[in-house]
Amino acid sequence: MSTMSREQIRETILRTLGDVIPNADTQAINPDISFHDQLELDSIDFLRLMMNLEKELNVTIFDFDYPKLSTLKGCERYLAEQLVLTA
Amino acid sequence: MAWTTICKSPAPGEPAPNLIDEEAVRAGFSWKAARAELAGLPGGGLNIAYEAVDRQIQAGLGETVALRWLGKNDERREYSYSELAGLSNRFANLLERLGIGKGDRVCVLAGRIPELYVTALGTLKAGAVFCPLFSAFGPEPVRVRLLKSRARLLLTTSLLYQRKIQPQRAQLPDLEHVLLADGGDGESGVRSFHALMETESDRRAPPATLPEDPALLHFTSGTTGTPKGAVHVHDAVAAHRLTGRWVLDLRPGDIYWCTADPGWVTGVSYGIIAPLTNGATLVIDEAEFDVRRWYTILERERVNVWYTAPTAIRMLMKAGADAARGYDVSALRFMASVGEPLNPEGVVWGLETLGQPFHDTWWQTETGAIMIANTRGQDIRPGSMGRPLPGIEAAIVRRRTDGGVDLLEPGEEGELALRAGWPSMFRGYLEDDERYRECFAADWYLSGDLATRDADGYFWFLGRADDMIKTSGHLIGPFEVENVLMGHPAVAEAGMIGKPDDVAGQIVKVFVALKPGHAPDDTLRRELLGFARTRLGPAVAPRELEFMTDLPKTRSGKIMRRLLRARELKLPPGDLSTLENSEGSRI
Repeated sequence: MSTMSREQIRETILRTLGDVIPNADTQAINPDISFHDQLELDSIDFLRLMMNLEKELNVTIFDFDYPKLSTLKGCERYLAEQLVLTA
Repeated sequence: MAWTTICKSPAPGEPAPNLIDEEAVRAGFSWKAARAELAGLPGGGLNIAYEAVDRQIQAGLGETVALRWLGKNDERREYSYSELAGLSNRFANLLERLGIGKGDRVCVLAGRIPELYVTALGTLKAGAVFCPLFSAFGPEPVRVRLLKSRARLLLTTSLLYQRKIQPQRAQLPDLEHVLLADGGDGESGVRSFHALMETESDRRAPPATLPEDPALLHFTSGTTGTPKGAVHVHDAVAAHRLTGRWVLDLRPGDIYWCTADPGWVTGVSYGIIAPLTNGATLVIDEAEFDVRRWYTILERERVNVWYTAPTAIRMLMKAGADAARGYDVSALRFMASVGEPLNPEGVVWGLETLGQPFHDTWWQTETGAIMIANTRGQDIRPGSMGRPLPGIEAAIVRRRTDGGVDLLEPGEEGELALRAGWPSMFRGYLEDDERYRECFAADWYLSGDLATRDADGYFWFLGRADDMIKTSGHLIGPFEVENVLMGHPAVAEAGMIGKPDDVAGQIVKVFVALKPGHAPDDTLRRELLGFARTRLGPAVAPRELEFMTDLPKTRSGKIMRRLLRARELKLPPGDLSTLENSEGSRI
């Protein structure tokens, strides 16, 4: 897993997001704006996104860090760091 | 496992609970006396907003902060009771100028923004009926509720308007005025809330409402048919105020945080009315749940009384006790929970982690106010709903075929019922007398909740008597969900159940049988979930979908959700005598 490229991480995030929010146009996501501000998702959706990303990428996301993953760019950065740490 | 009773003893330096010696209070209680504590209006009138705001100014709280609003981008705004009185007068004057008055419905579709609170109070002052719509509803639940309420005015935001109202405005002939909290005048019938407010006076004569005049309209889902609009009257304020004092232990000057959204009944009864009628400062957080943010609010705002929900408590528990360390929550005097039964682990976790147990409370949209509760002065049996409040007579009953009820003994399982007649009891479902009548047997209101009572008068929740489910504390009925799915050309049958979920309590799961010519593959599964979510919004959307070749049905063609539930939970199917087809088959 640790050899995943940024592109692969992004693809995984978008696929996971699409699983949680099946009506989301994941290709149109602005990476700098929070998911909350461009998609309709509630706290349960966001929690499912976090937990599914943990499962998909086999990493740990601390609950305190969730705000760091509120945008696509934030997700990529955080998960890339975690993947290096777990490698 | 058996949970130890949490015995209460007053902490040093803390004020005594507002409600002590419940049995003695119950013996001497009358609603007449409780009503006499209200300020009232000349000529026997009564108005919720007047009791919540103007009365507090007369009591010397004019400069006390009524609302402390925390924006999602860390803005902070405060409104004193005097300012709130002026703003709500302005809005009432605005309604009057628009020709909206007694009995007219005013809806709000917005997040937790200050304009919502001004609109709620101003609407009540104008004698109109306030009807909140949850902002996480999709276009379909919004349309149905606006149509049914016949709302003449809606307050919303530009984004929500574009997403959920504008595309279907033509189907809402009663909706004359849309006010945007964040926008300027736009197309015909869309105006700027702030521009209109600016020209109004902040003075106004006292309201002219009577205790039995309609004040609040809360929609609640049903097993069958469209959502029901539960109507509450101004008299309800007697119960809001009293339960705020007795159950939430509120007193003037308290800092109080209710995390419930005003799109649901809790966010109005206890997120607006109860704290203001008790002279508290209401903390409003616009943002979604976040662990660090929540602990920071408890610490920084010095919250004394906190009313939250099991889903939020479970999310805090998931983050662990360590996450709470380092935060000073010593200002907390009382913590309570509502929305669905709080598991005993949650009650005890509060005590161990935050120094206070969570006190579970029970009530419904129809009851308008808390009916059964664990109060501050009473020992807690973790997992119990608590005991009925003075003024409330609760019983466990079994419906008889002749329309009456049998009262059951302690330890017996049955339906939770309340003796009709408390002030915040709903007075009807909007234009639906038949469904209103069905809620009563003799003079008992039947809650639809199954429960039992122990020998000491504590009530214990067991489940629902019908197919309603609770997801994140919100009551969702199968009709809206199944109806939307049936609108997809591939769907022949749909059945909804609540699937247990560690955090949300239950999530919406649907079983779907397809019309011939459609393949039950993953692409279609996602398409259907997306289709439903686009229309229903995240609050109601199914999170899981499973295909079946056909769904179990009765001889009269009703889908047997009980069997779908039993199958999901791997429980015995129970009585199959009314089953028409096979038990339904999975693909």
